[in-house]
Amino acid sequence: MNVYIRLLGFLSDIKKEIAGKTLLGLVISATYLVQAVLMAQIVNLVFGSQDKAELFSRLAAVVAAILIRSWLMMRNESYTKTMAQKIKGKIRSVVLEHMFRLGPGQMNDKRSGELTSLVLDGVEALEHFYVSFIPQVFTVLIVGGFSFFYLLQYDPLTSVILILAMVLCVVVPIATIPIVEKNIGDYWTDYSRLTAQYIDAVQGLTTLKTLDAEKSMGSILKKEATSFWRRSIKNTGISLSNASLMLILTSVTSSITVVIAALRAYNGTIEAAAVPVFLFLTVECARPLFDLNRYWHSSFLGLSTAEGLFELMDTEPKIVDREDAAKNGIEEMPEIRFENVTFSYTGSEDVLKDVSFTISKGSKTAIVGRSGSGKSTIVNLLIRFYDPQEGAIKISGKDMRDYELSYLQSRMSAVFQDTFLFYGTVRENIRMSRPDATDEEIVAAARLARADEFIDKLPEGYDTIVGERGLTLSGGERQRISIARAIIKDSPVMILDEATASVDAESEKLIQNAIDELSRKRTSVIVAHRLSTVRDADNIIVLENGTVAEQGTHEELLAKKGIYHELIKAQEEIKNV
Amino acid sequence: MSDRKKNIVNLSRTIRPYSGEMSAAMFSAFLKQGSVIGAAAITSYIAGIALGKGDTGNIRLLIVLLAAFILMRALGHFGEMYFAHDVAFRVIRNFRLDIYNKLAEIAPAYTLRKQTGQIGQAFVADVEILEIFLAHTFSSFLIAIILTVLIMIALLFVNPILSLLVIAAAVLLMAVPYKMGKKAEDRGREVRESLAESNVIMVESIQGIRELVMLGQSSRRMKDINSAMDDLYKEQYMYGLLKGKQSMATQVICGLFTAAVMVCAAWLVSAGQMDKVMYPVAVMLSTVILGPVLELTTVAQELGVVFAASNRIRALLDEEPVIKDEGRLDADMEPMSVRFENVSFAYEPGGEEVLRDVSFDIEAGETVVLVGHSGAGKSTCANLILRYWDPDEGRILFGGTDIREYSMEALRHMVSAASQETYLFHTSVEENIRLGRPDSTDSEIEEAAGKANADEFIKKLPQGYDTVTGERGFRLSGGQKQRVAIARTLLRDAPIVILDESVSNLDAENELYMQHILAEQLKDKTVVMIAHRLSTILSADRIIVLEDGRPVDIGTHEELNSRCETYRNLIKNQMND
Repeated sequence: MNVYIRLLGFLSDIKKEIAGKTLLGLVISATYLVQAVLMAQIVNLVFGSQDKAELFSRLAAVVAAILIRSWLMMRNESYTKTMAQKIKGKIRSVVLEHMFRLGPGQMNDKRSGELTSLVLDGVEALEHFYVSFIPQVFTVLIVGGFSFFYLLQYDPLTSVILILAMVLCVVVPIATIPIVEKNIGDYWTDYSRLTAQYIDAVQGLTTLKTLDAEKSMGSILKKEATSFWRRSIKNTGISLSNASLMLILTSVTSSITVVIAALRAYNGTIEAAAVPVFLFLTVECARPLFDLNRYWHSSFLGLSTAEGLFELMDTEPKIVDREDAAKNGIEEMPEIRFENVTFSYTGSEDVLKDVSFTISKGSKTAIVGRSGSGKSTIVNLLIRFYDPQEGAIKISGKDMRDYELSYLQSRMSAVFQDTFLFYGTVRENIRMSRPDATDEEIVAAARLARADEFIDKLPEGYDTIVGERGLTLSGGERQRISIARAIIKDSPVMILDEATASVDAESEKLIQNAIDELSRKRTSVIVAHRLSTVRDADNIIVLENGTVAEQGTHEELLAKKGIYHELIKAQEEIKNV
Repeated sequence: MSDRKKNIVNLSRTIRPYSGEMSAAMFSAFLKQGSVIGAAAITSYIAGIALGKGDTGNIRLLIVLLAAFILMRALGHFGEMYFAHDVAFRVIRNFRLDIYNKLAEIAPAYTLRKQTGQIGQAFVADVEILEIFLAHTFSSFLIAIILTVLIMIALLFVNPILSLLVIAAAVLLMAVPYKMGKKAEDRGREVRESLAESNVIMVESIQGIRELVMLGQSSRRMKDINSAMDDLYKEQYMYGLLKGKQSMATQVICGLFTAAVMVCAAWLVSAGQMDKVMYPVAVMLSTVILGPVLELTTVAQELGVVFAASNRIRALLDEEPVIKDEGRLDADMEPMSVRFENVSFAYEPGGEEVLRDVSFDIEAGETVVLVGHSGAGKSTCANLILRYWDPDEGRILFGGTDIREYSMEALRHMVSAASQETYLFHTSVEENIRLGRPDSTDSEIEEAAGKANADEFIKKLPQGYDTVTGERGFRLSGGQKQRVAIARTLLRDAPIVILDESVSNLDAENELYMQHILAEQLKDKTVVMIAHRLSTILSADRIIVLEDGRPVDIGTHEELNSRCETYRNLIKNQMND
């Protein structure tokens, strides 16, 4: 129930629209009511005086009501669509903004998958709640209230019965919320699971085929889809029983009350002229109720996604700026110090244990070690996607956490193992790191990043569209674009997580040259997966099981005959197989 | 036959197996619509009696009948929706499975140049759209026609003029979507396009959050998101306006019909051709008898989208596989030679030849590596060995037998492949490995993982072998994925093994280990590798150098290094490491 109240919170962003839509709904209802009253009068006239002039004036008024309503309904339609867009847009942008506040550390891979479906399908499903259901509640209240007081003058008893039936129509669906909530909630989970599984299978079809497993996957899918059909039809049954009950209640509202009024009129308890008024007005009372019920049903799906939405919104960002965070102080070639840093992603197993080392001003430092030794974690901490549980990382002598996050990140460039390219041209993708960069600067950066050659060969050169729905670039090409981005950004600290992805020998060489270019005149940290690339580093830090095992230059470490020596030996051996 | 008709016929055909349920749905719908009209008639008739002080002798019967109609309406609604949804859910399930099976049949030839994820997503969406037609349109279409005709016939007995009025109104109503539908459809398409546009921006923001944060683009991105929302808002407004015009036209027709009936019936009463008591009945019915037609026009508006979706699905299901599985031979699991005999191949008929007159022999149990620049045809060779395509000219022989003589199933058993892009499914690591051979025991899986040097890291995962991987699960690194893929391949135990760049992501130590292990585990196998890295190249018995779709030389490293210019160029960057 709490969720519903919280959903209402978003309404404050579309107050004007909600008010407008409700007003429109009311005026539309008013034309219905006026029409009903006029029609009742016409019926009475036919039974009574049959005065032609009066009849035609009423009829003209009916036609007028119809025309006005038709016009209003046109406005209402476009209003509904725009309002829907506005509220969905608002919710989406609030959620995404919160995502940026949470940052990449807390938005891990699993989360982003969930978030994608939440932001796209989940929010879509909320539309009916806001756009149809909420305004309809007002319409029902006001139409019911008006009809009740108007009909009171004709027959109090029937009016009371009418209003009671109406109240039931509203209360019953609310009473069944728990049952429906449970089933529909499950439905949504099942549905998204099945869809994900289906897409998973289609995506992996080639792999399945090489493993001769596509048929067995097919039969798994069949089993799942069949059981999903059983569950969905069961849910349909539940939600339909609910709807059918509502239909009976609304029918009672519109028919039985008329019959009661008719019988009372026949017995002379009330005036006969009251009967047509009941006949036409109760239909108008039932109409908004009927719609309310329909909207309520279409809202279910959305409401079940709301929980996921708020769960995300309730996640507190872990990385936040201190109140007096500094907006300056990182020098051109700063020194970076890890002081007794201990870190764990989960809180249970420490990935880094009491790690201390210094990256001196303007140096090129390499981090090496076996896979799983904590190399990539160092990167995550350096760019402050996470904070260490113990110890501190100091830049230019000051704890990283004392700088404003956006300032800190503006002074750093990071080149990741796998670079994400955005839908847009190559030029736009490079420019992202400094929006005011000129075309010449972009070409120059691409040249330094050894990317200009392959870019020139693309169908449209720098204007080739890449990213989703665009041209797919290889891992090595993407990384060089990322390096070009870093060159344009021209920040004092450069962090590079060397790609492990397969790049052919030629691109590997080119990337190597690009990295050399980038690490000039900066403090640079390179996480190396291939030892050959870091021989000339000023300092090599060797990690083992989350601790610093040894450090020094290539020659020093070789002489030590420790882990580094072993790693190098392994590499040499490969060549001699 | 027009596209529209063809679509209806095709869709109807998919429903045929469920004609029982469909008839039940239609019968229920008929019951429902009939009850609505019946209940309205009785209510207004009772009102008429009260007004006209008519005969109340059968009032009890009327009330019982009214109650029956109310119940029938609820039951009819339940039945219609229940059965129609049942059919819809089942047909949708069938569609999904058909699409999967079709894709499995024609992959990877069909999926080669498309993002398989997008294919999956597109078809999920398309199939869903069909639900509208199956669950809602199909029955309303027939009911609208049957009921309207019945009403007209009934009215002929009351008065031919009323009957004419109904025809006129029904025809006019049907004309609305026909007349305005095209424009609305076009607008609708534009809305969907800008929706897709804004969805891409949102998905990118989620997936690329790391880059956005590091490039200081968060707030700029929020602006982009909001402006995409604004664009969509404008599109929706235009679309809403058009839809609004449609509903305005509908309203005007229905309203004027009621007014016309009121005039006409009043005239009939005054002319003595109609009983006064029937007047409220005529007026009341005029507001409900267009209901079925109205329902039809509402769903008809969506038909354009439905047909577009069904066209896309149909086109896929009609797709012919590029290879014909006509071979009869069973799998031969003995060590096996592989021979290319004058093989030429182009991916598109008449397109550029990727392989030109390629001939080479690989002896049983030999390890051969294919090298060459990207685009030289290395992966195409692998694709042809896997028989994803057939050569345009020449043939491929396993152990002296043309591979087309084996059944596809036999070929799958004889060849196993670990490719560059290993796909991991959203299931446990154990199940991912088991895909290689579904009947393998847990200990066999662990053994295979052990041989692939994957056992150690798998045991360190949060849930060990039960850790769920894949896009939405725990992300493994490139090297870890490759080791899982190799474990799968070892489990399959096929005589021919293809390793397409499948060790490129391993670090030096793992690669070294792998080379020792592969030399032992795969020593009886015929292994075809594709590699860039010199260390991998050196581990092969022979090297085939491809250039522009032709083998330029075949031999050992020493031989090629001394005589082959292309080969020297390929490896020169790595020689001085």
